[in-house]
Amino acid sequence: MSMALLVSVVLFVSFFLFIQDQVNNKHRAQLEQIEKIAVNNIDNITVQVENLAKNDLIINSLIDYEQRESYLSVFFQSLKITDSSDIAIGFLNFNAEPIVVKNWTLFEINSDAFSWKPEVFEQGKTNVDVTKQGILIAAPVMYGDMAEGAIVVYVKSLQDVISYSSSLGVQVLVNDEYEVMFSSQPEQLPVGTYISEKKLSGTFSVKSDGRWWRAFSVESLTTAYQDVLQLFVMVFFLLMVVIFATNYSARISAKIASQALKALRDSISEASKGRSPINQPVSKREPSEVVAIKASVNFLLHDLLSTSLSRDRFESVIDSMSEPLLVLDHNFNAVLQNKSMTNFAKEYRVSMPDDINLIFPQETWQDLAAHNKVEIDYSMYGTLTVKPLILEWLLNKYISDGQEIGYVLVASDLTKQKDLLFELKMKNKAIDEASTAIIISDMLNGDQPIVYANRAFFRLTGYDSEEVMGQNCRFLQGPKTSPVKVDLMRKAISNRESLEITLINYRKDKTPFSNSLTLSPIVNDAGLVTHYIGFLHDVTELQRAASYLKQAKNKAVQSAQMKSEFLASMSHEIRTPMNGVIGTLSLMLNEELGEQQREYATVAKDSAQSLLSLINDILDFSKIEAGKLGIEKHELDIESLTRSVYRAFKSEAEAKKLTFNIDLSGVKEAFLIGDGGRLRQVMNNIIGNALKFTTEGEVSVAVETESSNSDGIVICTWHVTDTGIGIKKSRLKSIFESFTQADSSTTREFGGTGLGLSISKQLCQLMGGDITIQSDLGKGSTFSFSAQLGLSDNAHNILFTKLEEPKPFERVNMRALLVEDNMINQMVAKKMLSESGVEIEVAINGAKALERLIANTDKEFDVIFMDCHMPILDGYDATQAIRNGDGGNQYLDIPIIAMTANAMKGDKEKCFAAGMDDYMSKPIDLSLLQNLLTKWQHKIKPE
Amino acid sequence: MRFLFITLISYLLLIISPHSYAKDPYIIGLDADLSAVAKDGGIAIQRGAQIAIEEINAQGGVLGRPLKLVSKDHRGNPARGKHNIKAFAATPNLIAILGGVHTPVVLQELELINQYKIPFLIPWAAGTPIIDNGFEPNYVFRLSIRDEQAGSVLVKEAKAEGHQKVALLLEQTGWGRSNQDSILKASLEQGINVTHVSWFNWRQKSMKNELTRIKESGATAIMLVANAPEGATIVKEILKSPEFKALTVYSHWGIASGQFTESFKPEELLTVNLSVLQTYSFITPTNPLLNNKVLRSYAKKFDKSVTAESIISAPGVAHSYDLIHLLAAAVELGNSVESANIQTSLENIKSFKGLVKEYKPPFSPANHDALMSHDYFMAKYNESGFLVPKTHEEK
Repeated sequence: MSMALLVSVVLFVSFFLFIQDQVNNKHRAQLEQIEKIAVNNIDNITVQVENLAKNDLIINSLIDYEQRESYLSVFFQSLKITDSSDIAIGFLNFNAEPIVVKNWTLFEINSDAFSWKPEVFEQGKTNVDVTKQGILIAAPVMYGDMAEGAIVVYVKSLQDVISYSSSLGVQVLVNDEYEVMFSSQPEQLPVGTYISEKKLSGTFSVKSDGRWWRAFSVESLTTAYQDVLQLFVMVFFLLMVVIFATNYSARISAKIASQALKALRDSISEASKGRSPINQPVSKREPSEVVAIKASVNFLLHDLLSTSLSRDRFESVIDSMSEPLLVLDHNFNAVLQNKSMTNFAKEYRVSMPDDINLIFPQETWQDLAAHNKVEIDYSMYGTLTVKPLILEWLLNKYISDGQEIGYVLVASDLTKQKDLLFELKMKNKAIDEASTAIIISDMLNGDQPIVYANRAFFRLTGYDSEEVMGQNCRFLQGPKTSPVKVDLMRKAISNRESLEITLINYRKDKTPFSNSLTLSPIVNDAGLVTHYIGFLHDVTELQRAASYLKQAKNKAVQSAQMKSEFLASMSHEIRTPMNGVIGTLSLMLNEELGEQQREYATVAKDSAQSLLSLINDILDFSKIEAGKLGIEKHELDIESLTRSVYRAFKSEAEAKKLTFNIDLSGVKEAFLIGDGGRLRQVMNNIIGNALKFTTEGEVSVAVETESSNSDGIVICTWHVTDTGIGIKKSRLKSIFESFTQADSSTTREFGGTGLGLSISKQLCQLMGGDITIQSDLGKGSTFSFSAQLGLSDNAHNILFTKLEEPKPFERVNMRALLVEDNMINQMVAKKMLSESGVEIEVAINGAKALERLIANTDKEFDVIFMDCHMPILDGYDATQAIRNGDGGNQYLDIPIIAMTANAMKGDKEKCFAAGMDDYMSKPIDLSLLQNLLTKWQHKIKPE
Repeated sequence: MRFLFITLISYLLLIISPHSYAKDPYIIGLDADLSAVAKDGGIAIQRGAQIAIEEINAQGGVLGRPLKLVSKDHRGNPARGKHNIKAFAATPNLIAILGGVHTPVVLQELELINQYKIPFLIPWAAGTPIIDNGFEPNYVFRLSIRDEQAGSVLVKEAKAEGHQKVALLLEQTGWGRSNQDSILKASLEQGINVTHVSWFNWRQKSMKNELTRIKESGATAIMLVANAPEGATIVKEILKSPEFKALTVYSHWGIASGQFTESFKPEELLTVNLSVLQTYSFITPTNPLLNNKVLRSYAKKFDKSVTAESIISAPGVAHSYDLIHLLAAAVELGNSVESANIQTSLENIKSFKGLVKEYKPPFSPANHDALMSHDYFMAKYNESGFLVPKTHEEK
């Protein structure tokens, strides 16, 4: 604040002085101006006077007395030198006597005040006098060199000569006696006033000397300084504002600076204690200078650190080394050692100088001295330790002030290194001697050269090391090498992927071989693929074998295919006559026959049935082999099914006086979905076998169901236990093989093709289960077979129930069209159907059938029995035609029942797909047929 | 200062003169232009007077007393002239005043002369009214050109040289005006056409306008009445233009009274047709013995190298020489220095053998002019810049 006050005082003073100067200048300017004007005016008059004096006319008139009267006075009267009236103009002769004058009395009154004559007449010079009495200007009229006359002008008052308006105060021109001759403000300071000190006191006055006078410019102090006062107030105010503002900003910046400096000081003190280098700027507001200082101090500290290491710092440096550092003097005393060395000494219980030989066995000294380094394997010397320890010691001179005063020894622990080296060596050897050919290519250099190849490679390819190293492995490729494979390789490599590929490569002797190549990229820590390893296998033989096998497989597939086709056709061809035989024999047995006839017919039928069974087995087996056996899915009642089979074998069991049991307690879920026929087949087989191979004891059948983990799947397992002959353990496996029986003698004794079990096993497997045996030779066996069956939610299965109960057949009442090309089948079918109450008409093929159907618009038939395989138009096509309306609109929806010898997988589906409604296989089973008729009767004519 | 000096010198001269008497000398006042534009003339007058006074004093002076010349310089300023006359009038023992150069000064002095009744002898001032002044008795006696006479001589010369149309170029003074009258009159009488009259002022710097108008007026000759400065200006102007050079200038003697030739190179002057009115030339003396005697005295007193040709303002010298002798003669004749006596005696001199001529008589009661037109002649500047009578050669 005092500063401000001081500043303001200084400012005020300087301002005052400034103003004073200004006013002074203004006044001075005015004085200058007035001087200029006054002098100008007077000079003006003077010039006029002089000009007049020089005028020829005037000069002439001095001589020409006579005529001058006429023009001179007129001329002079008209002369106007100034606007003033208080002016006297005279033309005088050489002794100052007037020749022509104007207003001369004015001059004569005052003429005593002036002495001008000597100057004008004697010296011939213009005289100008400015006095209180007025202004006199006299110019000589020269004739030759002498003044012969004079022009004189007298102005009473200076006031008349000067016209001046002052802008500031009063300007006066005063004579030597300080009497005012001219005043710019005559009212304030009139002419004649005496300018005294007293008069000037209380005013601001400026004095200057003029040509003929002194000039004063006077102004009252108040008016002079009033501007000052005004300005001062304003300035003072501004000043205060400025002072305050600068004060404030100064304080702020001081604060910032002091904060920064304080922070800096703290940083420095922190850093100097060795804790850390000075931290970087705390805030953006830190002045750049402070930042610079910090940086400088950092550098300084850094330098200090690096140049003047104190002992403990030095020690901390050497202690940071992992390698033991030991400084010895010439007497092997330890001068200095780092922490690692201390630890080393502690670990191995050595101390210097005593244990010098332990650390440096005598043998090593020569090497150390000669090469300044030595590698010591301490396990060799057994000095320090028995554990593996290999150190490499480096020797340097210990120099102080240029003098060698000892030894500096630094150890590198090579133990691990050595270990690694050994391991590496081992592995290298392994690779080298591996039987697989291995090459390594460098991916980062040039043309991806081979940098390593093992011996197997050389053996495989026939090249040697010089030929291979540095080359790109494409030298292995040749004419038969597939470009596509090469491309794949290239792509994989360029994508740095691994690849397994088999392609043709060539040995050195140009023989090709099939190379199973595995490419594996090696990635370094940075994720960059640096190398590729290639494993090469000569798979030529393998390939050959493979292709041979492929061929064989193809052949086999081909043959299987042929087989199944054969089967398909065979199936039909075989069944048809069989159907005929069995059918007719059945019919015959329904007729009245004599005893002998019945016996022969029965035997014939049984034989035929056995033959059919055999054929079926063989066909089944072939189907299974050909993969053409289909497992159906329909509603089952496991209990009923098992009971049904049980009942079928009961008589046989009784005949053999065997105990025959059934146990259905394990059945939790009875209503399942599966292939009942096949299950029955398996059951027949297993139970049949059990009964067949048991002479005494019992046979029991137990069923159990188990829900599997999968939803809706139930595993159903039958256990058939017998007390039969059992099976040799060694034959247990082979028993399922085709065409084998447990004992080669079994066929002879027990008959059978030997296909049964094999088929059963395969059937079980097809149904998601399997057959297992537990058997003791001579004691008995338990055959367990299982199948995965679906869970049925339909408990009310009419067909099933119907199948179960031996309900007597009721004759139906239907009209049917039988479409069948084979005479025998025709006959058999016709007979069966008509016996069951069906009115039959026959068409010998599909076309004929259509003709017959379309012949009448009436619906003459209720059902059509369609054979599938017929000439001209087979069953499928005929059915489709009927469905299309080719048989007439009335028959669009007529039930069509397929009758086919085909019992292959997909046949049923094919029939339904063609538009048939039901299905019956040949040879026709009467009871099945009757069931079917019953079913359709209900459908056609529901009751 | 100068007056004092001159007075002193004159006084000293008087004292050391061989024939200095105890008696106070008689004063002859000289009022002339001794330092201004016509100082040549003034000095010539003075010198002539001084030679004459010396001779008279050598003979015993007048009435037993020596003569003394007191010179005053009027500088051509009539006011001064008057002042000088007044001063002379108050001078004891003043017997006469020798005045002249210029006519205007003399004219202004006439009143005082008449008032003081001092014999006024004019060796050089041509203004006719000087003599024809109307005063009775007339105290003014002239031995000089009389303008009235001058005019006819100038015109005669012009006519003789084939000019029919002339223009007048005159100074704006009494002198100029007096000449105007006489030239016009003469022109009328002699059948010459005055086409233009131009006036100029003393010290006028440019004469071009005047000359142009003269030329335009169709004049082939100029009748010039000017003093030396103005004459020089005019001739300078003439020299500038071939147009003007064609004009012939017949000049009154004024231009020869001062610094005229000094303004030109001699060859320049020769290119101008200029002739000057003169009354006497030492080259063609009337009285050779006297001529040479005076020349010798002049040479002894004033200028050793003087020649008949080079003597400055010859008329002035000769006129004042003769006038002083005539005065002395008059005083002796009247046996008195009284003004009235001198005046009467001057009128009564029957004959006198002067330098200029033999006067029979010089003056008469009816005629105070001693020289008439038949005494005048025209002169031209020669290659040396001296005036020589334009007599036989040029004709």
